Amino acid sequence: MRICHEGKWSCNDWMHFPTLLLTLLLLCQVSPVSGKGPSVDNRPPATAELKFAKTAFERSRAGYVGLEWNTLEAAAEYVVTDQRGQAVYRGTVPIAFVSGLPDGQHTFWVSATDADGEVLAVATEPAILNVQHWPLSLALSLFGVGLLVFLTLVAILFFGARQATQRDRQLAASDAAAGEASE
Amino acid sequence: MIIAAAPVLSPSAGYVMLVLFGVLWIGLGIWWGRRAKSYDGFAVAGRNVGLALGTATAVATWITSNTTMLAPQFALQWGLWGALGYATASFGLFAFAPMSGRIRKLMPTGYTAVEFIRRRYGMAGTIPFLIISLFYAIIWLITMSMAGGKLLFVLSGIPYEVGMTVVVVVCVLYTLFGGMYAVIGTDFIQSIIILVGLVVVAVAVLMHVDIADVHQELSVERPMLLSVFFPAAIMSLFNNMLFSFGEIFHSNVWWSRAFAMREGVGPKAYALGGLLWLPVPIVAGFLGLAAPALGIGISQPDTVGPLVAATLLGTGGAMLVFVVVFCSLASSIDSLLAATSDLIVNDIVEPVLPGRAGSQAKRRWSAIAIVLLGVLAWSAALTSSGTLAEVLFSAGPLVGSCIWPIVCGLYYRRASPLAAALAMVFGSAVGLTVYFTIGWFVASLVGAAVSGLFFLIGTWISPDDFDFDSLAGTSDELPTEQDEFELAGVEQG
Repeated sequence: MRICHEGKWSCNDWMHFPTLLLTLLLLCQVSPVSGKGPSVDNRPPATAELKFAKTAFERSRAGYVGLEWNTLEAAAEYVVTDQRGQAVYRGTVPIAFVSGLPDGQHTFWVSATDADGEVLAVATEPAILNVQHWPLSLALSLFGVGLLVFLTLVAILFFGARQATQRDRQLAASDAAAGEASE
Repeated sequence: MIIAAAPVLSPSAGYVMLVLFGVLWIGLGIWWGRRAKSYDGFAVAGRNVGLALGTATAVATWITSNTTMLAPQFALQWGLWGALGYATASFGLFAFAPMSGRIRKLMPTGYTAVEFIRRRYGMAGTIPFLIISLFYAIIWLITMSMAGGKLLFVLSGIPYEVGMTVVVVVCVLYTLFGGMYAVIGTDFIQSIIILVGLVVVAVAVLMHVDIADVHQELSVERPMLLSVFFPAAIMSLFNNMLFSFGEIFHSNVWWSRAFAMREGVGPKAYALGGLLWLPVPIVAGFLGLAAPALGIGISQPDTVGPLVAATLLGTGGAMLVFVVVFCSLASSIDSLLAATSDLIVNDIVEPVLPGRAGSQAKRRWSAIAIVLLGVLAWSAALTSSGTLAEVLFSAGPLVGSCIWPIVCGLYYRRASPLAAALAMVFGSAVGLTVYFTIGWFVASLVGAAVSGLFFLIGTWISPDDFDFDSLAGTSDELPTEQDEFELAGVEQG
């Protein structure tokens, strides 16, 4: 099949190379792919025990964490709760993202339930996260640096644009004067 | 109450929409591509783009997957500051508005940002700038390809690898056929779909959500998201703004549009584009804030926006979000493919080849470059496992260090090659160090600040006295006899 026609497209020999490449790409699209993507296909094999992939985290400076655990074959849903028993995640994917946490130690548990809502398993060990936000003094200092850079940039743009406009006007005026003189 | 996180659309519905929009974009690309016979037509749409198309392309290109997917992520991670910080990216478009007019005036026959740097600063500035430009363009392409795969998986359960591949292939095909004509034409349609879609999603979500309840829930469960004194979020505010300045000022995506617009159109188009763009991340960010308050389980933070909208609005909402994000992805991927291929042809291939390249030869190289870029983005997105923010923000300090060489190079004759090279090299090095030691949320800020300092020192040590008229260059971009001959050959079939 031709993808272009003489007279309508510049259909020279060079088109064969990209056409081949594109065909290969389309083939890749319908072929099984073995690469590692961020989908859940890479989950570990299911076991009877529910376990966080990581139970101790480095100190969090921004108050968020990603929790991950193994899958259970019969699980219809996973629920993550915090130390107060509050659910912070409910879903079918064995990964939970929790954010907006204040300073302090935060403990998380995960449980798996079946389609009838019966609890199948509870994590044997909780995941523990310590949150210690950056010092406010550092944050405000960097805010100040940012403000300074921003204001300097605005000033440079403003004065630069003004100078350029003035130069253009002067050039236009001198061109006009030269034109009049030659006439 | 917690709502279970799961795909809302069926995979078959997702495949149908993919095919429909894929065929539409490729068809339009072929239709508009009929006009892209010469390289000037293919690369800069004949340099005759008006205000409506110019504004639409600025809006559509800047509403990327990063706006619709990262803005909610920012709100989810950094709270109110995160959403506001992301919205400051519109300042980049406002700042570029006057610059676009100056670029068009100084380089009426120009094609790329690297070409400006080469004429302004010579090789000393060109080498670091070219490396940064290519690195950024490729990272941006990869993040958007990843976003395509993630979106389709979250909304419809289509495997990541398949969804990502289809998005990349569709964009490569229509850019390949239509060049800048197709990019700007599809951007016009895509910008209308995106803006109307976002308004509908925002109104529909507000009808389902009580803002007072969201506030109450967040203040109890996630207090830091509403805190004015959230240290990491405060640090990230100017970082985001300077990152966007760096992105827009240095990237050939924006320069190629400045060259493509009619004289006098650029400043108005970019300013209007910024105004239209400003509320988008705030609306999208609200979805991120609403997620914990509504108890919607989030697994991957960069998919929170589409997931919340789709979960709250059901199948209709999921389809709308699907269309909006697919358009925002396509409008940016096509722009990047076209602009980066210009850069590869004009600044890498042409300078190293002997003799003067004809219009058709450059058109041919552009096509090959577009395909190769697509293959590169596809293969990298296939193996990448980082979140979008982590991948994209690794380019932050690099582009932040380009701000001063670009701005001062456009307006001040004393800006010198030494200053530009020092600014880019040291700004990038220190910024990257901070990226790995503190985090991405301060890297662009530090990169821009250090770069400014070195630019000042370089200008003081070795000031230049540049003649701006020399930027207009010789007539080497104008069609040669060979070009005319090739063109005539095409027209006669």
